[in-house]
Amino acid sequence: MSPESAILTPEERAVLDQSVLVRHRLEEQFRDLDQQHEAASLGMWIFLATEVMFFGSLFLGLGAYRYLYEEAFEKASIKLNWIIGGTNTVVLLVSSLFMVLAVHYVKLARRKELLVCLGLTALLGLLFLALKGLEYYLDYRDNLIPGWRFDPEEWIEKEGLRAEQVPQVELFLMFYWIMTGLHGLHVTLGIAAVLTMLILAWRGHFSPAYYSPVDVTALYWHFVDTVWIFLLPMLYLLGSHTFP
Amino acid sequence: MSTATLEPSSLPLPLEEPKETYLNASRGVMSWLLTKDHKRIALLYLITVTVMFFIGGVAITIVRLNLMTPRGGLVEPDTYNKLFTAHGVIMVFFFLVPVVPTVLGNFCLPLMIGAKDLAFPRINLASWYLFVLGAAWTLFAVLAGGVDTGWTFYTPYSSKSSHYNVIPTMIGVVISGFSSIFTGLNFIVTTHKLRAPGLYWWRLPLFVWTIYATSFIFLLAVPVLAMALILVILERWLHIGVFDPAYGGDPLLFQHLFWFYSHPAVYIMILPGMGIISEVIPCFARKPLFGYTAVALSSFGIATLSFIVWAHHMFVAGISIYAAMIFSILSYMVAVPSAIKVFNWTATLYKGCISFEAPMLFSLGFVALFTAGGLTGLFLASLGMDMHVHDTYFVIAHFHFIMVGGMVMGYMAGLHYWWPKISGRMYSDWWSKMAALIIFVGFFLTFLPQFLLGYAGMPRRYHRYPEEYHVWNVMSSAGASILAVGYALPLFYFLYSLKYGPRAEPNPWHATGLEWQTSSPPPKDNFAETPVVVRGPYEYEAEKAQNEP
Amino acid sequence: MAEPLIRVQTYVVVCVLLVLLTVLTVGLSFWHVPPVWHIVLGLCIAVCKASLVVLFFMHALISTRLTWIVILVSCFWLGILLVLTLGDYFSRGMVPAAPGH
Repeated sequence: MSPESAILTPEERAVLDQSVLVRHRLEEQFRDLDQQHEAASLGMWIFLATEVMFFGSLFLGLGAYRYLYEEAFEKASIKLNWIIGGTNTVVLLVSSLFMVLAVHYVKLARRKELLVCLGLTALLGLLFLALKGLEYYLDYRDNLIPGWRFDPEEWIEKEGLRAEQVPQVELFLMFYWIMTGLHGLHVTLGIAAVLTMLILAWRGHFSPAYYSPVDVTALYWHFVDTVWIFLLPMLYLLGSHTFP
Repeated sequence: MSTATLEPSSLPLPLEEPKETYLNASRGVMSWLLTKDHKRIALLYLITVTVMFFIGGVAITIVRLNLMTPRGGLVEPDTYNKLFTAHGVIMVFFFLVPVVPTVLGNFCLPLMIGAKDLAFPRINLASWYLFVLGAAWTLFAVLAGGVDTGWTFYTPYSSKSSHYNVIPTMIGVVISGFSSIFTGLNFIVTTHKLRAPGLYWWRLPLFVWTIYATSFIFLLAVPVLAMALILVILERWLHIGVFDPAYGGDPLLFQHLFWFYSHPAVYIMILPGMGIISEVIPCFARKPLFGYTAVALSSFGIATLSFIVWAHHMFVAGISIYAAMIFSILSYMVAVPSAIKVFNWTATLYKGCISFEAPMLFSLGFVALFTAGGLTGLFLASLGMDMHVHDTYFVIAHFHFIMVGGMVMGYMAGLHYWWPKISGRMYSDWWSKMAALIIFVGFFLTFLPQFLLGYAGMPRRYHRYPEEYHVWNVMSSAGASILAVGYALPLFYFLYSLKYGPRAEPNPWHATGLEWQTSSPPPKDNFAETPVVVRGPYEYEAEKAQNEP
Repeated sequence: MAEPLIRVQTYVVVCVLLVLLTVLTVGLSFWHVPPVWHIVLGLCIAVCKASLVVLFFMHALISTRLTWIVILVSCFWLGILLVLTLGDYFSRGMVPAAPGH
């Protein structure tokens, strides 16, 4: 009878899960699945530490230039679309909720809930990207792309900046594009990982005894969310907004 | 020892090759290119970094030939710039940074902790492929047009003005950086999770401690370099201006990001070498390492302090005087843990039973040259002195004393120490000692004059110089040719040993350490069964006490 | 290994808190104060939000000491990068005007 059969008791199913998995999932350098899971988690946490330094360097550049060019950065920041930025923050936060619930349900062997949560995570991730795309289109329309669609005169006349401050606005916008672009790339990779987990979960790959890929994907996803949590104030909220 | 003829039956039987080793466990090119075995991956790395080493060496040979005469002229000035850049980029990113961790670290770490393999073998293989990709990319950039910015890639020259292959070179370096990150990640998780029963942290060999500290630096420093280079690539490619003064960009921001990695990078290079010395000296002095705890913790001291001294490369670049003072004081402090190690190695030698095989010769050379080079670092850490010697040959001599006199000698020591384990063969004792001697002499002749040149004011990266520097330059170039002979020799006797060298026993040096408890070469799974550790490292004293009347 | 130690309700409450903090941080940006306050407040709130994500969603609260060390070390090291570099930028203006500077 198949492992998914309802005729087995949960205990029997757990034992069968363990033995089949130990044969197929345990790598030879590990003593048992527990050690393998711990190693995988530690590996992902360490990888996230490297990502902290990676994104952190960009935050450093942004911070240094913000210190040097307060006025230009303030005026440029309030031109960014805080509505989409704020909405996207909420989208990612909710997606993080579903991601952690997915991990919760896989530990409880509730496959249906696991699939729903993974699916919603991916869907919200795609929503994030869609909103980002819309935002990028609006930025294009509003001449906020340095080196491509940018109107220096607009900043001198409408915003009252001096001519030498206009390149500083471009500097801010460069950081905006690079940081959100890099973050978007990470979101895309995260969605791919979540979808992979979804497919594997559909195929019955995971169980309470073996779910470390889901755990590790979740850690990555939450990290991507955390980066955005810092991007929001540092890019969108540097200056005082007024209601439209 | 009597000179009477020995009966054939009393001679030790020639050693037979262990039946199944990692070398013959599976055959065919694909079994090597798709291997998950850390020992095979170590050999793949060995081949790659050796090739890169010799290419980097060729570049600097042409440079030193050009410097034989004050007016230069052997190559065009632009070509000269490309050559020293190639030398720096290749040697730093594709030899010095990876060599000991990826070759000796990959090979020895699982053996030393009694594990079957690293925690993530496939990631280990991916590391190698990334490294090869990065190396190929950079080599292509260097050979097809070259890059002339110096290995430090300072902006805005690299981001705006240079007409050469900056972007592909940087891409290659960034790719190799990811290789380093994966390797470091692997080593740290392995050390935490896969130690054999009984192998507590305080029983670990020092080499493991230093590889761990090195991996720590990899993980925290490389991402910053990657970002710095990516920003320059974007700036060059999209004509935007992150470091461009015309946009209000600050070239010093690049330097901060660059040196945040590149200073710890030099500790990436030296720490594993120090770990090797901590293995070799106790073995060939037949004494436990003096001050094990201090030496182990000093590895972390070095790793930590290495991260807070980077702006000593920028004293004259335009940082604030207050920042300069702080970094100067911190740079003095970073010498302390290194000094702790030197004192402890020396104390280990004291009253030891010293023998001078090649690993020991290289190690002693390391200690002497590293100490000398390290002391000159203190000159450079002083703001007043640095004003005069920054960007001169003094700096070049300082870091070559540590990199070549220290690190490469350390690597040679490790290679000679573990070669029997890796290959199952012994190399020629006489030739190896000769190589050590030639390298030492050649090294001195090459780099000692450079201290004098730098102190006398000769700037670095210049293709011609005033007449008064002629003699020292000739000495330096002559020394370089001797050094080249010294480095070529191991190539010959190691390769020779593979076919004709006597077979090595499991523990030819009678060393402690788990790696010596398995056959030479080891089987694919390293140990017949998981070892259980019951004693500390370096228990040479016990053996010595037994041999004394 | 597989018993969940945090309940679903906890996760939902944390998510609601996060959304509220987001609303707060955006709302505060309409407060007309000197720009430096926007950064200070924005980063304080961001740190709170990030802490909630790390502690609850990433299970740091129930994780091993080693995980904690990794988290703290990465924060500290980022701190080194930011503090020492920004320290240079902040103190450049502190030098009194002198010939040659």
